[in-house]
Amino acid sequence: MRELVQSAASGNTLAFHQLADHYQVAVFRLIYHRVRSQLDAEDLTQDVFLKAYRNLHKLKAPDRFRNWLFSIALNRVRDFIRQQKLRRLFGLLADDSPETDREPMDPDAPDGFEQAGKRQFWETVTSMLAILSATEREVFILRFLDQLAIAEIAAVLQKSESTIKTHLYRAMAKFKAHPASAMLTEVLP
Amino acid sequence: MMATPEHHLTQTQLFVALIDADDLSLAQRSHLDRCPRCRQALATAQTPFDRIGELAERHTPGPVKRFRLQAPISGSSKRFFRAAGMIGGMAALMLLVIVWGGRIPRDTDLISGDQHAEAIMAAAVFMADVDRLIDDPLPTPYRGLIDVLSTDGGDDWMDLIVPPLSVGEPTTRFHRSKGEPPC
Repeated sequence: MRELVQSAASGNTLAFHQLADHYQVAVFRLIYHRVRSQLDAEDLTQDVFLKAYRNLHKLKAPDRFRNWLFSIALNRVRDFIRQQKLRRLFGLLADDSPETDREPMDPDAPDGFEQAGKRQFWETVTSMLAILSATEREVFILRFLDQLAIAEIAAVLQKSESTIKTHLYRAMAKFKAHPASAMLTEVLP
Repeated sequence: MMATPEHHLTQTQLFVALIDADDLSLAQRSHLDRCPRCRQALATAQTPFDRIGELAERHTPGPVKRFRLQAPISGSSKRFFRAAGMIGGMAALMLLVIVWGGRIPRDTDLISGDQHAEAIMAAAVFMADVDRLIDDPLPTPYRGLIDVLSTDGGDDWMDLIVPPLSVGEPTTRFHRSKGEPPC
């Protein structure tokens, strides 16, 4: 992977395409967990890789490509959410509902059960994450939804591991105390 | 609180173990290794967090389109496109001249051959009138008058109209001396 990063940094588009193929799903999921919209996640993923390609020469340590890529993705998502808030503020977005509500039903789904389960899950997650602070929420999503290790979270957020653990501990305690946490193990499909 | 064989791990210690088991003390770790109750409690505490990751994975779609960079345009391609653009522009300009140039009306296109001959004749008549007016600027009714004026006995006729003054006769009454009778 290091060689691919170095090759891509020297302008080899084929090498960069291989990197994109390898990390695209992870980046897409990381974005989707925050914006909850397939179309927006697709566009933002494209933006992230384009930005990464343009700035790859600035990456000093090729070994850190994955964390660097995730940092770009998180920053892009923050910009996007900020823009969404501004648009809502000025009334450019019609409704204030979560993005998942605006997505069309999947025509390939055999019935609405899967779609309903999906919607219910993300609504539950949204309500549970709402009680966390911004940093706790970010750390929690990175750990349990994006499945990153503590060291990786610390690298992506550029914070110490002990700080990450502190935020994560608080987030887990709040999450556990939330009444909807039982739904995750008992009700949701 | 120190965990001993008699003291099981607290909820806080279980969370610490969930985040990073290495952060537990040696005694706590050894207790956890040996205590099935604490291991069960740890598994139970971990379940919702594992479950949320599992459900998130299930309810998260994958990307549809693969990322691909646009093919960069090389220098020679840029030159080619620039030359092609210039040639195309010139061709369009020529086409415009050809199409619109043929539609510009000319004087000869507006009249037929007969009309053209009539126009030439009218111009000739007009020029003849101009020449005649230069020679004789008076209109026809007044032309006879010119003939009268130009008779040989013109001086007599002028004398009839304007009587000549007698020599020594004052031209105006202001030259009469005071007390002189008028004529």
